[in-house]
Amino acid sequence: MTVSQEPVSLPRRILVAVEGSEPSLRESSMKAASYALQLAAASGAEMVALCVVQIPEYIEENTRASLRSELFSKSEKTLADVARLASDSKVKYDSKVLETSGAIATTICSFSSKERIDLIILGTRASTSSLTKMMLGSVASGVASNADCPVLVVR
Amino acid sequence: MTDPPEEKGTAYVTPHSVKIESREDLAFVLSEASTLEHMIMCEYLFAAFSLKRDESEGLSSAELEKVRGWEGVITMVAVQEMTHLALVNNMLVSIGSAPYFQHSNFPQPSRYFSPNIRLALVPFGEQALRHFLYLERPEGMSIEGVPGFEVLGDLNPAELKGGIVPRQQYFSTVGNLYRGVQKGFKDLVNNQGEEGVFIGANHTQATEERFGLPSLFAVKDLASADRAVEGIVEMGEGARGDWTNAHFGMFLRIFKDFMDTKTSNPAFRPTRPVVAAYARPPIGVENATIISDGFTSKAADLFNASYGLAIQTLSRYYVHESDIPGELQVLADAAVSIMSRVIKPLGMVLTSLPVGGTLTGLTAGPSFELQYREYLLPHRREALIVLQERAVELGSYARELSADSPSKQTATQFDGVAGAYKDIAGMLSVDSLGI
Repeated sequence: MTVSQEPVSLPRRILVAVEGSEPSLRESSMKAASYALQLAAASGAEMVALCVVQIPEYIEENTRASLRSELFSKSEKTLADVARLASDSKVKYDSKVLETSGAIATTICSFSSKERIDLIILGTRASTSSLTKMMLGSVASGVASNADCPVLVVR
Repeated sequence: MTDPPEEKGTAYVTPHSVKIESREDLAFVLSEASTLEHMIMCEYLFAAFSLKRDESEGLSSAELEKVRGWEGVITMVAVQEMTHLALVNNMLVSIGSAPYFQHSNFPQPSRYFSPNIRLALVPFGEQALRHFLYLERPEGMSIEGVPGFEVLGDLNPAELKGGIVPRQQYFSTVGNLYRGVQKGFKDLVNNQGEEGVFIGANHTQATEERFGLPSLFAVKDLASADRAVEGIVEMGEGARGDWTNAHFGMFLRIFKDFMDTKTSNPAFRPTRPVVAAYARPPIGVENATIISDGFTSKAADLFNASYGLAIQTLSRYYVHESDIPGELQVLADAAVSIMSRVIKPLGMVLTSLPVGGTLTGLTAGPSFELQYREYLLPHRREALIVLQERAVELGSYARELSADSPSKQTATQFDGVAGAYKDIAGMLSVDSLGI
């Protein structure tokens, strides 16, 4: 079998996708962010942290407002923690919170394409049940399947 | 979005675009109408279940009275949709077809209907009411698309061409679909004669006497088919444009009352924080909300299993072929009992239970999920055994949920459901019918 020898360049823009809504997801997100920062520092890349807030499409407007407020507040808290990590490094850093009623993985991939990201890094948690694993693991596998750049999953 | 029309008015009738040239076409369109009525009924029940029912949920006594009034009207409209569903199935049976009670999972992104018909389970509120007004709007009345329910595009013209296989057809309103059905019946009778078209049994059809639903009668000839269509259209959009006392007019009054109340008291919150939620990832739905809370997940399963049993019992009613006295009435009573004594209380209790996980504060609305298998039980004795066995199982499950309930109030609701299933299982006994 012949494998093409395309030159591999170091990433210039790294996206780390983080989650703040659940403690276990937050922990794995911080692990992924820390890994991403070290890699960015070593390769001289910029890093963007992205938190996607998923809100169901068909809910009543007041319910939507309070859910949005709570999930955005949690996301901003997680991103503030990532920003603190980033401030200790010399990595150029930016962050973003996006809202979707669609799939989180699709939103991450669209953002990545639009922002010309070279590498996506995200965490995954050790799930206790197969259903949880199937549901929460689906973000990592969805991104891995649909991204148009390399994806690195941190355990 | 344009504002809904004024309180009184008329609308003109547009020409029908539904084309029916054969029995196969008619059965196909009636099955589509059945699915539509069924899903709309679920939407209305969902909205009714989402309303608060107690002052402890943050409503004043005056507000609670108002909310109860709205719930009563929406539930009444849902019951009338059940009548439409039964009438459509009477029409199907009248031409020799099987009843049709299937539907895909919510939300329905208009893959099977006209591109202007999208269906979703939405809690009571402005979006839900505008959507209901859109669905029930009279022919010729223009209401722009509701956010979240935008028209997805036109049908491919190739889809509209006739052929040996029935095709999806375009209809502008629900009334427009039924006018097409009405003309289809008439054209078929012109070609084949009444005896040639109405070949189905009329003694197995749903009637007011059996189900207690007003305006429900057997379809056995062109006159009764015509009357069925007129009844459905009049209940929805009014008699040839006079919609004041039809579903459209009723929803318009609720909409205005709701908006006025909200304007005078911006803190008014009549709805529980409900989202339609599934116990596990459903077939054909992307990004469905999945219940994380273990107890709620079991309660949602009990709701959907009970809904499935009601559909199975109704389907059995329509294919009934026997002269055992009382058998039809037993099936009708069992189906009605499941709807009123099981599905209604379960729907109300479910919307008070947490979804769990990341959706903090949200509660679980019923998903009305049907399993993807055939509900028809064709053999008499076996059917009753299967139905009774399932009623016993579901009653036991309700008792287990009562024991595990997070509150006394919830436990009482599940005890009620268990008691209802005991009665239903008793009704369905083969011994009591002498089979």
